[in-house]
Formats: sequence, structure tokens, C-alpha cells
Amino acid sequence: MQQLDKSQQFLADYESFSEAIFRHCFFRVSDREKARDLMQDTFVKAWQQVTAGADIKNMRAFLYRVANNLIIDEYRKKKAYSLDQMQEAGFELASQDHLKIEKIVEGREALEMLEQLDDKYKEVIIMRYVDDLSPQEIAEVVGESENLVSVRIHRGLVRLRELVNKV
Amino acid sequence: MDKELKDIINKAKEVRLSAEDKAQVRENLVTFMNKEVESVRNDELVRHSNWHPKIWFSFARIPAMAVLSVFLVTGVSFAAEGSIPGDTLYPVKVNFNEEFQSLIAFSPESKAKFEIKRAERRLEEVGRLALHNKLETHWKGSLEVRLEKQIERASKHVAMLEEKGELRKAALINDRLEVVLSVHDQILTDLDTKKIATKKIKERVKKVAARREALEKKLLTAKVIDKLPEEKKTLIKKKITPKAIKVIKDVKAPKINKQNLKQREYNKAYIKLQQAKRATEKRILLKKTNQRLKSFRIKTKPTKLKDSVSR
Repeated sequence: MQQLDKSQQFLADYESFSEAIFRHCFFRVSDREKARDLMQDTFVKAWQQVTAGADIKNMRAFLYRVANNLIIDEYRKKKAYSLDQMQEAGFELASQDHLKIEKIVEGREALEMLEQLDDKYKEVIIMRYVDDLSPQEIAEVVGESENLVSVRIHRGLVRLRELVNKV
Repeated sequence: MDKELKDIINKAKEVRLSAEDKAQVRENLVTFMNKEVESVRNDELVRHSNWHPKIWFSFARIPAMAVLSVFLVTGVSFAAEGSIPGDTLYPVKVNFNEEFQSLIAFSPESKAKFEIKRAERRLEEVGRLALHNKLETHWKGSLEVRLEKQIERASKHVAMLEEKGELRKAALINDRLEVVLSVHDQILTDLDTKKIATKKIKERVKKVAARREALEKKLLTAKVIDKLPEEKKTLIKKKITPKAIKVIKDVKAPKINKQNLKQREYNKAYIKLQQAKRATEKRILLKKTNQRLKSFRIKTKPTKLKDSVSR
């Protein structure tokens, strides 16, 4: 039956892509549990699309797109802050320990570097070098032009280089 | 790309999803994919459900000789989301949609948050039923019991966290419960003119406030050091009220420094911060809930929904 094939295929896709999607989510939200939940939500949502009859040509790119949207929703919940606004309200900031470079534990240093990148660079760098998506696929996922994606990747690498040099 | 950057990338590639997690998520996924749902005729959906047909319905007939599992008809699941007690699809909403989500919530905190979310849904249903004057029919039978169960479960989680010594987490969950209960209490005071549900809800509001006070007492003497400024940042972005700003301005986060940390002052600041956070969240939730209820109002019966800020 057609439905049975669909679900078998989908579970096969899960086997193939779940680790990569998890890892991608992990680098974006820096929290294992959250990443696991997001990965699960990604596949649940993707399945809903499959049963709704959506014609998905590239499942891998599709999964990244769904995950990306979920991650953006997650960010909206947390919301970025501006230091100026803080100072206006008269606060004193405690030092942000997790950025302190002297806390170097083997391996953690590398991940902290990535964590410090602005999300728009982090997003494309992870997709390109950790997830091995092509610039075209990345462009599909984030909804920008391939040119813009390439420029962003390049700038991201420069920024990452700067961060590494600061240590 | 140079060597150092390559190292970073390689280290990143080493991050792994554990075998157990992978298997657990797969199991959850399969459950979701295999759950049997009755097919419902299209016109029944339109007639009985309050959901508007912006959603694409898919309905598959169950094969007569269904030895194999039938796959979830996602249209029905979506359609059920907007239902209230009395609608044909309401059982799908509470017994399937919500059960599934509670099944897949991983940590105790997510489970507790989810129970609160469910309680919020019940409270909204109370509001909608009151608007249509159907509250009396459905309160005693199903809503009261469910709501009570969900609040109980959330409270149990708070107690568990408290026992484990995780006072901050316990307080956060309790706060969320308090915000939800007090906002709906305020709304229902207007809507529930026959006072069917308000008594029970007011009791619960009292209980959760008492819990909060007990937790605050413990928090005052607790030895916790963490991210006070993080939460202030979130509050600012949430556009806090002038009242709340005043509360926060009185709070000066001491320099977190191993030498001169004054624990008790710090704890006091934390408690004040949570107070401001509750006020903000109440305001936001009140506005949001009033808007949602307005959209379900019967045109012939205008009901005034107050939009005032609660303390």
C-alpha cells in the first residue's frame, strides 16, 4: 500500500538524517535536550507534510528547512538583548563566565568558538562544513540567494578566524 | 580553510546523538505515525467543530480488512485543536493530541510545563463555554476533573523539584502556573456570571500563591549563584510595565565575585526579579487570552472583557 511505502521511506530517512539534524540543532541552541526535542519536532512536522501530500523532492534539504524554522521560533522565545538597553535601566552586568577564554577544557574550546559566532554566520558555517550541504541547498533552506550565502560563509570564516586569534 | 578552523569543524563533527536518544525518538515517531484515528465525514467536521476551514483536511477510509495499522489522518488532528467539550472532535483533542505530546515531553520540567499548558487549554475552554452559556453542562462532567488533574500533576512536579533542592526551577514552574491561573481567574470573574467554575479556580489561585510564598522563604536562605542579569535582559525585551521597571530599578545586582558575594541580598534581588517577571507575564497573557476569547464570541451577545493589568 502506498501509505506503507511512505512510512517505510520516512523511517529510512530518519535513520539517515536524524544524527545530522540533531547535531545541527545542538550547535544552534547549545543545549542537548533542547536539540533532541527540536530534532524530534522536525521529523514530526515533516511527517505531517508527507501525509498531507506535499511533494518533497529533496528530503534532506526539507528537513533542514523545517529544523531551521523551529530553531528560529526557539530564538524568538529566548530573544536577543541589547547591552545599551540594559545600561539604560541602570544595571550592572555580571561577567559572562561562559565566554571566558581561560576556561579551556580539551574540545570545549572549539565548540565555544562556534558558539560565539553570530547566529546568521553560525547557521551557514555549520550547514556548509559540518552538515556538508551545498551552497545551493543552504540557499534553499534559509531562503536567500546563493550569492548571499557564499558571502556570508566567507565572512563567517573570517569572524571565526578572528575569534580563534583572540585566544 | 586553515588548520585551526579545520580542527574546530572536526571537533564539531564529533558531537553525537546517543544511540538511546536516537531509538527513543524513533519510537515516539512510530507511535505518532501509527496511531489509529477514525475517519470523520467532511460535513460533520464543518458542522460540529469550531475550527475554521483554513486547514486542509485529509481523510482516508479505513480498509475493511485492516490488519495493518492505519496512519494518522493529520487533518483530523489539526481540526480537533479548536474544539471544546460537546464537539465531536473534542475527544481527539484531549485523548490523542495532548496525550501524545505529554508522552514525548522528555524532562520533568517539560512535562510540568506541558501540564500547565493543558490546564491553560482547559481554562480557555471554560471561558468559551461560559460565552456560549454551556458551562453548566460540561463543567462537572469533564472539565473540572481534568483541570484538577492537570494542576495536580504540575504541582507534583514542583514538589519533586523542591525536594531535589532545585528551588529555582520549582519556583519558575510554580510562577507559570500562578500566572495562568490568576489571568484566567480574572477573565472568568467577568464571564462566568453563574459562578459555576470560579470558586474552584479561586481556591487554586490561593494554593499556588501560598506555594510561592513558601518557596520564597526557602529561596531567601538558599545558596545559589547564577544568572540574574540574563533574566533581566529577557524582561526588558518583553516590554515590561512602568510598575515592573520600578521594581527592577530597585534591584541592584551585586558584582558576582567569589570574594564579596552577599548571598542573601542576591537572593532578595532574585525574588524581586521574579515578581516583576510575573507581573509582565500576567499582562501579556491577559491581553493574548482576551483576544483569543473575543474571536469566539457570539455576535449577538456582546460581553465586556476587561483588559486591566493585574498586580
